[in-house]
Amino acid sequence: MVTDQVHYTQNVYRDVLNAMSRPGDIVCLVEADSSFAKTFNCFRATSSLLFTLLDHDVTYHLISDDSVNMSTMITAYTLARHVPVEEADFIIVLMDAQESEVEHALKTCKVGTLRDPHLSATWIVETEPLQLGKEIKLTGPGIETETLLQVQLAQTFWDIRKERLSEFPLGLDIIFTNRRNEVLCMPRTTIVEKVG
Amino acid sequence: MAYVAVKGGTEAIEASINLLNYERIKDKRIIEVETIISTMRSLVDQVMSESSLYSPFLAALAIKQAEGSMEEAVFLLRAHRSTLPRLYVSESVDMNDMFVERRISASFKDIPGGQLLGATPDYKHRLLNFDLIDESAFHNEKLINQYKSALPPYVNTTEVLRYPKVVEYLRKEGLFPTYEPNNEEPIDVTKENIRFPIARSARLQMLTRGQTGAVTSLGYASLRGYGAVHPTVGEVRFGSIPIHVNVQSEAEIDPDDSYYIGEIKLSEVESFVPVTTSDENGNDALHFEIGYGVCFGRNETKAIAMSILDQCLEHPEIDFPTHDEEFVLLHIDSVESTGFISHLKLPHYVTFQSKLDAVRNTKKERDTSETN
Amino acid sequence: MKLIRHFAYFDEGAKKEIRRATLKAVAIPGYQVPFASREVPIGRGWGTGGLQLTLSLIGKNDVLKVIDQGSDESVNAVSIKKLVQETTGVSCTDDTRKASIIQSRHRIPEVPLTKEQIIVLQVPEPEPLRDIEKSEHQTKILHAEEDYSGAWLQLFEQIMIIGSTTTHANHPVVVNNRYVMAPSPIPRFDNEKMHQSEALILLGAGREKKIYAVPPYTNVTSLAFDDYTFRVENFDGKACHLCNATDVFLDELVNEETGETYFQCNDSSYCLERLNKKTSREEVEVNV
Repeated sequence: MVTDQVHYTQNVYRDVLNAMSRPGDIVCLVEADSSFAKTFNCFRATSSLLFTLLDHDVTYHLISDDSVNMSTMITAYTLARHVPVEEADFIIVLMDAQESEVEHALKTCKVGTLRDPHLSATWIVETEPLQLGKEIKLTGPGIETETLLQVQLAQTFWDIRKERLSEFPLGLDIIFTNRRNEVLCMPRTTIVEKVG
Repeated sequence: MAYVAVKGGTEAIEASINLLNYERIKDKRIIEVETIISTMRSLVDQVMSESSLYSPFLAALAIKQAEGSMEEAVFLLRAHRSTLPRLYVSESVDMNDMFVERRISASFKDIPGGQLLGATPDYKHRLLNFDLIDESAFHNEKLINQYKSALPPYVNTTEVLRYPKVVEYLRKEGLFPTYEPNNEEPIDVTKENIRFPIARSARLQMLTRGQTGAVTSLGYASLRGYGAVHPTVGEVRFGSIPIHVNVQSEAEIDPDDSYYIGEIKLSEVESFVPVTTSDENGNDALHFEIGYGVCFGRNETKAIAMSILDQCLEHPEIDFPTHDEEFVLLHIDSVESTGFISHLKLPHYVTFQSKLDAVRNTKKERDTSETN
Repeated sequence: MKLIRHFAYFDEGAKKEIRRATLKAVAIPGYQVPFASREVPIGRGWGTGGLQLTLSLIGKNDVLKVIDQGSDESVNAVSIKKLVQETTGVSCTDDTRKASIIQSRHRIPEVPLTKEQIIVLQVPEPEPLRDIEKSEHQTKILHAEEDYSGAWLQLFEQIMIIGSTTTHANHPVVVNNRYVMAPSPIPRFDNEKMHQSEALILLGAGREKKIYAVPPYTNVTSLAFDDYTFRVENFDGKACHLCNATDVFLDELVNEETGETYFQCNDSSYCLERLNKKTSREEVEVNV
């Protein structure tokens, strides 16, 4: 249990960095003080990421049925500004997001430029289930051989992602969260293939 | 036997720091921070400007700790600045609101409001004054009283005397264009990384934070021929500017609800530079552009040099180093330049070993090929 | 007037900016991510990039090792360690195996790093093409277009003129088959340690304001031609006079009295470890 916000965000950051360095590894975040965990109406892990990564200097776009209320809260607590999806530094997809909105966001979000590929969106995506399994296979930097996972997302999600990643270094990077306070990352370098 | 490393490093550093502290105090003299603020104003102003932190008290403290080294004092203050949380952004200031202490123009003999010399060393004769050796508080008290009693009586007034900008005169005549205000959000170079080609807000920040000597030298180089800017100082003004902060969200801003948080002293320079441009028919036309310089505190030389360089960098197409923004802006920062130069004192024996190996290898190759 | 200091020196805003830049760096292996690079109490050029990375990473339970030229006792390493300790209270170690974060100038330790560890390298000049092209604006374009002909040409010219490649430390590498990267002034000997590493490698250039990364299990190859292969520093026939190691990077030293050259492990903690493996209780001080 971590009660001090400075140490809490430091712990969350280390976990996310570890997850981003080793795509496919499922990393359990530190258990936060209940006051942090209950601030936003979303997974605890999602809350933790918002507190750790967002502040006045970045923008975000929220995809959720309750986006107006949630975004007001997120802006109030983090000072990050809510902007249209094409401008957002962070794209947050909650469990109740509409698939069509997610697809539109995937097609239009920032992927950087050849000179400045870092000016691209980072996605935070809630999904269940998110666990080891046999649906998709991950390979690429950070993965020793391959990782097999079960991630509940429509095939169109992977297809559009692949299209937007077709011109490396342009791309987007994703942090998945689940109900068990776990995160899993897929930077743009990770190759995702359907198994079987 | 268990092997342990000889621990020399920590002790050496501690001894070095102790010696440094001893050197500063061994003559048993103490200089007060207030004395530095009061009698070393130029040092304080230089440190505030190069650190981009407006606090005469902290600047004076840094100067005391640094034993007068500009390099060290600026470093201390910048490092301190790094730790301060950034809560608000002030509202833009209008230099027309300045409570002017000094305001001159080289471009016109007479200007509206007149040439106000203010307190300036410009016309002093630089003769070392040996009377200052035995300066006495008593004698100074007399001088202060004499000065005050010779002043005309104060007149209470609610009117604030403002000095119109000299450039307005040129604008009215149509010799200088009136631009649409550019309200683009300025970049903060201390919080964001800069990209070339650089936005003007970033350029001006880097110039104003530049090491006074470096900015002056490059401005000088431009005047001497390593640049194509031929400026006339349109206006130099020095005085106090009030700073306001508005804490509401952007949508609700009402200027009357701003908070006044204090005032700062600024030096501002506008240089007029004649520029030739060709129109579609190949006809040349001459018009004026402005080079802008502004610094915390009293830093006239730097502000003038800054205005020259601002103009130089506005024309990167000209092939002189003073018109190359990477050359100018990346080499004038005191903390960066002094840091990197002094880093050469760090051990480099691994890279040197590597170089030795490469040179030996090359020699071996050459010897082998010569014998073949 | 008493000042209350933040944990790890920086306020949260500063740390967040570094952390976001680091995550992007890991997502784009070998690409230099620009960052604000705040001033810190040690000089620019003295490891401020590495230090900012360490301060953004470090937590109460981390164990820190700092080395300079392979040595834990080098004055600069000691100075950095002191600063981090003063602002965090974390414990430090000389033992590579015990460290969770290793900040290093100009070496990668001999002991292979593990997935529990992060190594932070200090970088003076992050741009591998800087010798060929002085403009930052231009080198960004070269990287964008994957135009590395200048780097290859430089190697080629060296071979033509001198007969071998004369790069010394900081020999450029290709990361993930895309970006040419400056590995920092580590000797050529250490380049291979970056390839398919178990540990995350982060590189920080404070003065030049860039952060870049090599994730674990990523391909890193040194620039070389097929017929002029990449060569590391040669220590054939030489061994450490203290512990007898032969497959490590050695420092060349001269005996002041006899004028004789001898060699010693550059990685001082590794040397000590080897020495202590074969011994018993009594403590002996060694000049490592």
